[in-house]
Amino acid sequence: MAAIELEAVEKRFGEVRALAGVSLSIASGEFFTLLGPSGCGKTTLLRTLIGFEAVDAGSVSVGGRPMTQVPTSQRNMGMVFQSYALFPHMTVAENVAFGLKNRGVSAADCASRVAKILETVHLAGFGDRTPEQLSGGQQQRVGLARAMVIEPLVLLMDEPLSNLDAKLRVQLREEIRALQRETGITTLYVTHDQEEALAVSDRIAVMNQGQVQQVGTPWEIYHAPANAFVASFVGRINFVDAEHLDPGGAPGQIAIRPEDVEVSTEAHEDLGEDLSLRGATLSSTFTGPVVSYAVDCGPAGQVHAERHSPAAEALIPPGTEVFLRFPAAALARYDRATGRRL
Amino acid sequence: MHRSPWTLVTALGFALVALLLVAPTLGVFQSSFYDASGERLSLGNYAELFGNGYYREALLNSVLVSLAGTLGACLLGVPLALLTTRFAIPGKRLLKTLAVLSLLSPPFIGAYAWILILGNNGFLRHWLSALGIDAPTIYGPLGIALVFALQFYPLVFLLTASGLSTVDRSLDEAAESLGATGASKLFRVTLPLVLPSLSAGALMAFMLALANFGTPMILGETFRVLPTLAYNKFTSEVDENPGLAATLCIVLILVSTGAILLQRWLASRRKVVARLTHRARVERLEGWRHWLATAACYGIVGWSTFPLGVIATYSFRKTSGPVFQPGFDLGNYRTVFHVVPTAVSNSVAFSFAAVSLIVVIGTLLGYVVSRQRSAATRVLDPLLMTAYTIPGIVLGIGFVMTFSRLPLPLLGGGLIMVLAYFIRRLPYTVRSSAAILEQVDPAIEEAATSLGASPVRAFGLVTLPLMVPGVVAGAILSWVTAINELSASIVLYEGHTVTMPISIYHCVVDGMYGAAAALSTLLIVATGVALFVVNSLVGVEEAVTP
Ligand SMILES: Nc1ncnc2c1ncn2[C@@H]1O[C@H](COP(=O)(O)OP(=O)(O)OP(=O)(O)O)[C@@H](O)[C@H]1O
Ligand SMILES: [Mg+2]
Repeated sequence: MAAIELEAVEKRFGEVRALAGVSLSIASGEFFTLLGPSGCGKTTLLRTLIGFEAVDAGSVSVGGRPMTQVPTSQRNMGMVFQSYALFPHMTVAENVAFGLKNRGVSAADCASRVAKILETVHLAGFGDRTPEQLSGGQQQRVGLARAMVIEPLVLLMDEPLSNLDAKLRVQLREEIRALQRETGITTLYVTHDQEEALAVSDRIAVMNQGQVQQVGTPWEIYHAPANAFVASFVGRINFVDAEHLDPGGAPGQIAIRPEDVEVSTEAHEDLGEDLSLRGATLSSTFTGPVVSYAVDCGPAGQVHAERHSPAAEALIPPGTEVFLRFPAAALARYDRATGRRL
Repeated sequence: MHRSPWTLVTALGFALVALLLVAPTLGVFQSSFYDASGERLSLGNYAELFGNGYYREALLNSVLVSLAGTLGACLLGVPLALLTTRFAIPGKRLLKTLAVLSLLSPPFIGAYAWILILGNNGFLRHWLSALGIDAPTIYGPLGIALVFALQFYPLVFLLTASGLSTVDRSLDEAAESLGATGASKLFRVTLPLVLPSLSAGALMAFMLALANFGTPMILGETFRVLPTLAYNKFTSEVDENPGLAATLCIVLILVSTGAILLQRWLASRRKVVARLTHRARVERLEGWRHWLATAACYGIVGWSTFPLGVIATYSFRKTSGPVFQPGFDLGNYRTVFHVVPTAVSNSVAFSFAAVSLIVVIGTLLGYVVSRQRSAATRVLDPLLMTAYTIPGIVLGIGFVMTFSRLPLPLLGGGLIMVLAYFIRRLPYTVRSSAAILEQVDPAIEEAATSLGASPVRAFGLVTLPLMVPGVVAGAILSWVTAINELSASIVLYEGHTVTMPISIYHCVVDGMYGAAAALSTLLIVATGVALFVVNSLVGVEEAVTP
């Protein structure tokens, strides 16, 4: 049975259609991520799910139970906030115990559950501190503990890591993922960081302008994008008009990821099904593991190609004539008007 | 949406506004179209007001004396703001507290103090005439303007200072790099940048001066202004004319509304987006400049607190009848507790009752206005703010005109006084509660509901505790203004509901200067203690300027 079921959910703010008919079905125990550009409606979706916003149309159910008429306080969903939203006038332990007290859990039971969850999030011994005495990462661990201690039906997280620095973000996301696996709690996670989404999720829904563009595993989202938007939003990709690349073939746009483009200073032989273009390097950018080249292919536009960091002699200087090879297996065609995959 | 208890609060807000602001104002408006008999509709009052030189002069007097007071307030407040924000002046906190003390103590006490200083029998007049100098009289327009200036300059000072401290230092430095220095920089860069806050302070000073009743009553003699004239027309037995009083009130409201619109226009023409990346720098002056600047600051603040000191000293002087005698004793305080004990107990009771109402309702409404945004609350906020434009005397007259027609047994009792204090101060509390809430992350409350707390429980356990310091500070200031209120209460009181400010006013008019001084000192001390508490809670500037 689906843990979370959304059907044709609509939400408007004045003229803005923040959710334009969203349907999703999230399985029990799944780590499900909403990914999309700023303003696409991720936060709104989460807020309608927990009841901070009422839906204009459509239905929301959790564990088979319709939620639309249930007030937030009775939905039994845990939420982790981007701004942490800890209660500044309470200690860490009081923050975590807040939800238990609302449920009438006995003081002794409460204390032991608080101690246990603080240990789980590596904050044993921090119970008497106030939130302002904690670092950002520690504060978000409290936020996580506070949301999980009530054993909610589902856990909602809205960009929980975006206020932390890059290293800590990676560390904490692994911890969150490990904790989720351990407890098996259904989790709906929001991020606009595609790498984060790919790294932690069981499945991802890519959203744009209030609509779900594609739902799939990280591998599907990256390697089999359903449309041009998903292809360009997740990872980097080159779009070339088919007429320049494959004059006799079907019209549309041909897409290929930079890491799949083979770049060489010599012309390719026996292309077979593969396609090719000629151009001149504009620039090369060295980022450690890879070198990426921007290649000017005349009327076909600019194409980016990446190579694993080569030896110094093999670096291609700007202004060099190069030959690009597009392996057939790595190509996808999209309709120019609708963006749909052909 | 789920129906929430906040809808009820919003409805209560509208009911209060309707009953205590809209109805009285409409009552006054309606009465202004009735002739002296109160039976026939006419435009006669307006014709009389604008046709008769006597009333035209009162209108002109009101505007001129308030403008003069405002100008004086700027001349004192702006230099003080410039000096204290730009230079290291010792004891800034003390300066601020004393300035606020003179702002919050009732203006009629200042007026009365100046009678003791420069009145016909004033000690300074005696000293000066012993030196062969004939001191100018304190009675009349100049004296009134002086009292206004000394009373209201702290508003200009506090607002300008806060404006100055948000002016980016790099703008100042840019001006300097372009060759503007000294006075040219001051007038062409610095002051235009703080014009919005400076003019907001000046506007508040002007509105308070325009609405002020006690000072022109005590110092005016034959010099009439709109509030005193309205009071006379409304209460006098010889030439009572409620219709004309109402017309004077309407004109008063129009003038203050006009002032607000003018200031809005001025401030909007100079909209400065202050992006504070480089805080204004505080320089240390060297040598005589330092001492001169310090002396100027303490001179201004000392001048305004001097009258309060005079009152306190005189309250311990021996008196016989209206005359102060050499030597000190507690006779005046004995008189107070024998002659007007009800005034003291009434003042205490009414002000505490009003503050309790203000705290509860003001906090709830502040919450609704800032957190429960809807078409209704967007209207409620500006509606409440109209209370700013209604002078106390107008509200008092409006209450009488309205509640005498309604079948509510309000008039003549203590409740009407409480309601007057309540509605006059409510907008400040709503605003300050809303401002406190702006600094509390709304997600905190959402977190509480997501953890199973009902909306009411979330408000009580999470939001309210975070609001408490600000609310308490606001409540204390409300209490100060309530206990010092004169202009509405003087219209509404009856013998058994007399309050301390009213008693002081009567004592001054009747020449019981000793008792007046003792009562005034009690009010000043109460104000001072309250300020001290507020200061230790949140700092006074935050609390005084909305
Ligand atoms: N309370 C609101 N009032 C008006 N418009 C809103 C409100 N909340 C969201 N919106 C609008 O709805 C759209 C979706 O907003 P939402 O916050 O869900 O985006 P998001 O995907 O979470 O973006 P981000 O990554 O920036 O957090 C935006 O256009 C936003 O401006
Ligand atoms: Mg968001």
